[in-house]
Amino acid sequence: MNIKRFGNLKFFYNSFITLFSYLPILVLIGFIAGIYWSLFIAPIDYLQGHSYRIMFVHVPAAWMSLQTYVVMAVSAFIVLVWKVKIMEIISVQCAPLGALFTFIALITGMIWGKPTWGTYWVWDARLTSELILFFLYIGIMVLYASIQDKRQAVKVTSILSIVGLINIPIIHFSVEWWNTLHQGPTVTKFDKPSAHITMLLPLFYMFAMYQVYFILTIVKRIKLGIIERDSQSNWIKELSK
Amino acid sequence: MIEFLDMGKHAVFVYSAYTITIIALFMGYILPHIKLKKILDKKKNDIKQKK
Repeated sequence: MNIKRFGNLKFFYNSFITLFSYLPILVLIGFIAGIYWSLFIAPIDYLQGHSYRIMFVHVPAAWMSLQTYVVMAVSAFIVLVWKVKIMEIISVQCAPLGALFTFIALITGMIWGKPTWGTYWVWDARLTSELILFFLYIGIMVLYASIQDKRQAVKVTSILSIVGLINIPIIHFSVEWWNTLHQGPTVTKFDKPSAHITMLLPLFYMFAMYQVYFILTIVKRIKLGIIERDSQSNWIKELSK
Repeated sequence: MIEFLDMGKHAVFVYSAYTITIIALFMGYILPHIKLKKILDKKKNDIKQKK
């Protein structure tokens, strides 16, 4: 088996991407089921009441914002070391998706903050570091768009992505390193999670749905990236016919 | 379900959080989809015009 063909854009476009054409319907059904589970089946919290249900959209979005950044930084590292074309596209296309997840995490977190803390926003370590993550994503997108030579743009944004990776452990451990209004780890205490299993199951289900959504959307974005990048190739001209 | 529909003052927070999430996720998928379709349609038209 020739491993090099996996770096070939035409091969990637024709085989891998077409496998995902059925996914949008599954994702839609999956999210409807997850939202129904979160809103109507999961029990009410004894302390926060119904407002805790925001957790089912907020927490997976926050996890995805970190995961997307790691995917982007790993792709950026591969770009700098091995110069794999498809990784250049993945690295660039991860930024808007990561910004989307971070936006959802920030906005739903603010909405959850009002009934829980009595305020939409505080400049505590978790919230501020998550906001910095949002600015990092936006910065990478703006930087890429502002450089004419796209090969050079990928190199510069890759370096910024790798440098920005330092923010990921800061976000994760911020609630342990500093006194914050944001609550400490609840789910990641695997030996004894603070949340009940009837609340954890819909949370993990929604996280799985976010993962499938990530795959669906990143594949769509990669497809877009390939067509923008290889627009003069004969195989793309044939595809347009 | 009745318990949820009767959740009082928290309803506005929960509903707005879910609505914003659904709209954001939908836009996150549909925008690249539309852009991709536009590019392919434009290429198709260019090829037709050349013929």
